[in-house]
Amino acid sequence: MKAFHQSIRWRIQAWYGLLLLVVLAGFGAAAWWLARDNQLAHVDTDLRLRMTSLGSAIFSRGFSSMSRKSSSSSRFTKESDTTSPQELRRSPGQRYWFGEQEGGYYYVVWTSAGEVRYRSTNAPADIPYPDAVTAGSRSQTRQRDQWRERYFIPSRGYTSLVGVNLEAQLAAGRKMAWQLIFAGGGILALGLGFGWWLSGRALKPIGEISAAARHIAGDRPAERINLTHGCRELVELSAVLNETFDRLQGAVTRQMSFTADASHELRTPVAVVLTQIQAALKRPRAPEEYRDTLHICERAIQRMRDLIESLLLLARQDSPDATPRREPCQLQVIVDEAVTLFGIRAAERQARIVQQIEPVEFTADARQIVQVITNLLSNAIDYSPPAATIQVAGGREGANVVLTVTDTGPGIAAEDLPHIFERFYRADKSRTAAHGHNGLGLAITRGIVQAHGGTIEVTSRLGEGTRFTVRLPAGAARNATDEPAPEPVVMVAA
Amino acid sequence: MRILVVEDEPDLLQGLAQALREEGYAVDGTDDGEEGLFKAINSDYDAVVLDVQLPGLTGWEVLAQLRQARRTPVLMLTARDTVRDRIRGLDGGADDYLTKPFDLEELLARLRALIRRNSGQASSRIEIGGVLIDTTTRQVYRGGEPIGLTAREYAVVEFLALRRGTLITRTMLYEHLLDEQESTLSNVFDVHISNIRKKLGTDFISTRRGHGYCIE
Repeated sequence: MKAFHQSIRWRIQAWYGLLLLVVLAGFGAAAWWLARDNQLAHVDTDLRLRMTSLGSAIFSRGFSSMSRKSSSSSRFTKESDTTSPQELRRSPGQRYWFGEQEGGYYYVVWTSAGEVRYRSTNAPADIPYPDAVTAGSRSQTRQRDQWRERYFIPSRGYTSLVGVNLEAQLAAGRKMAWQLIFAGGGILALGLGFGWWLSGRALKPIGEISAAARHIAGDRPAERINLTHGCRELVELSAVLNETFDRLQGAVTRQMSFTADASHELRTPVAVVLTQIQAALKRPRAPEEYRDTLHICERAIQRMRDLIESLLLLARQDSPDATPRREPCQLQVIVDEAVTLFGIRAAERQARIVQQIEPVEFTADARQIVQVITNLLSNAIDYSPPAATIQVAGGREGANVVLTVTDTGPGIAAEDLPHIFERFYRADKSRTAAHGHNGLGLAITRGIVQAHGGTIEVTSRLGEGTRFTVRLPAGAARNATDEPAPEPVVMVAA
Repeated sequence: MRILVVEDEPDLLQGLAQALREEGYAVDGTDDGEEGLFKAINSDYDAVVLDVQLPGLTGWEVLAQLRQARRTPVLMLTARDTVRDRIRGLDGGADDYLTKPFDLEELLARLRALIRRNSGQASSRIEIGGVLIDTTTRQVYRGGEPIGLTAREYAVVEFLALRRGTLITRTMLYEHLLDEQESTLSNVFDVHISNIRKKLGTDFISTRRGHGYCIE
């Protein structure tokens, strides 16, 4: 059996059942106690009344008892009164207060010496002499097993005691207790049953959510949890889960299409190489033909290599712990390095690079920023006509470093602009611009910029050229003309 | 046979075109979809090798529009290999579908099959009288003996044999056996035909004066 004590439903049921039990038990016990107290109070009142009447009977008899020797009532034996307890003769009205028919009240009267003087016929045998009363009163009530007795010990004279057998009441009390227990048990059972049903209903959506989530994770990733009514918490939970599924599905789709795109991109250069080689091998050829084939293969394989490196870069960017190194950089140095790397290509296309760089220092991963600039320069040079001029400008803007790369090339169409940073997107859609462009350069560039906490924007109009603007938080940057930042203070434990 | 190759990857286009020419085909090539469609509609190619991912008009669009005008056999080349794409291609009117990277030999064999099917031929070996033409090896035998034909001569023989019983005009010969860059000298084929007759017998090819040629 499953560990049922770990189920919410069972736990709720257990706690709720416990609570209900405690409440019912408390209530029942209180009711029973109250009833009992009430009853005892009645009995005590009766005892008091009878005590009073007994007292007056004794009193009216008392003097006559002292003068019993002078009386010839047959009620009294010739022996000493102390050896044979007598019934007190009472007035007809008082007689009815004692006896079996009047609730079983009895009385006993002792002399101050402790000998029984009077007793009622229904008094139980062997009633022990009462203990001394507590200070402050002369009469007291005691409970002796099932007998409840009230006694009065005067400073002088007879001790009187009135009592009653509570057996009936006790029995009734026990009966009431059982009745309460059964009633309580019944209510508890009903309550538990109702609670079980209620918790089942409340938790049913959880089962539905589980089932739906299992489907979504399994073979139906486009489905979502359909829970719009029901308790708010579970509806909220469904909404949150659906949102998470959307995001996960988005990530998976992007991943899948990225992988698909990547493999497509690789298929073409592989096809080139394969066709070239297979065609070359079909018949004997002159060395120049072989050389041509080998050059073409080399070109294709370099494309593959560039693609692989770009893909690895992107994959690394995608991984969660891709925080760039932070080192102090000087903007001018970085730009110069990028321009130098580009010298050959620029010369090939007779492009001119004009720089306008303010002295700015900032913290970033120098190598990556160089790559950003080379990417932008590469785009500018390759998509501009020959002998174009490209402007690179950079400076400080508030807390940011700003860098712009502007060309006067053909520009980018408006419908392409929102997409150019996407992976494998090529605005000209023709692979004939294959200067090693695989559509990943801008995606990588944006990835680097964003990893540094910066932004990259493009403005362009067809026929008017293109400008890329990169903004990076300068980190601990300051202009070279400012005074240097204070040296960090290192506290060394003495 | 004349083939049109529409492929936007220049190295692949060049490689394919050259391989096909070495197989004896007349080959035209283009890297643009619209230009490819234009060419395919305006000339009677024996087969078109069509890449799916093209700039401008995509391969799908070229295929759809071509099919409205011509029944030219089309072999699609693509980097997409899902079953769905294959089905789309084949249902869209393509006659065959190859994914890149492909084996060159397989491409050549499939092209041969396409062309053969288009001519209503069941077998790759054609027998006419005592002459046997093996289209896979591009060899011709007469009475069991292999006959040496030049590439052009073989092309003419194969073309006429696959259209056996049909009258073949000179224009058709120009259209199907020369690519667009070759200049058309009006009697180049007469020379070929006469050479063929010398090698395979005078009644191998009949002449219809003023109209054209025919293999009965």
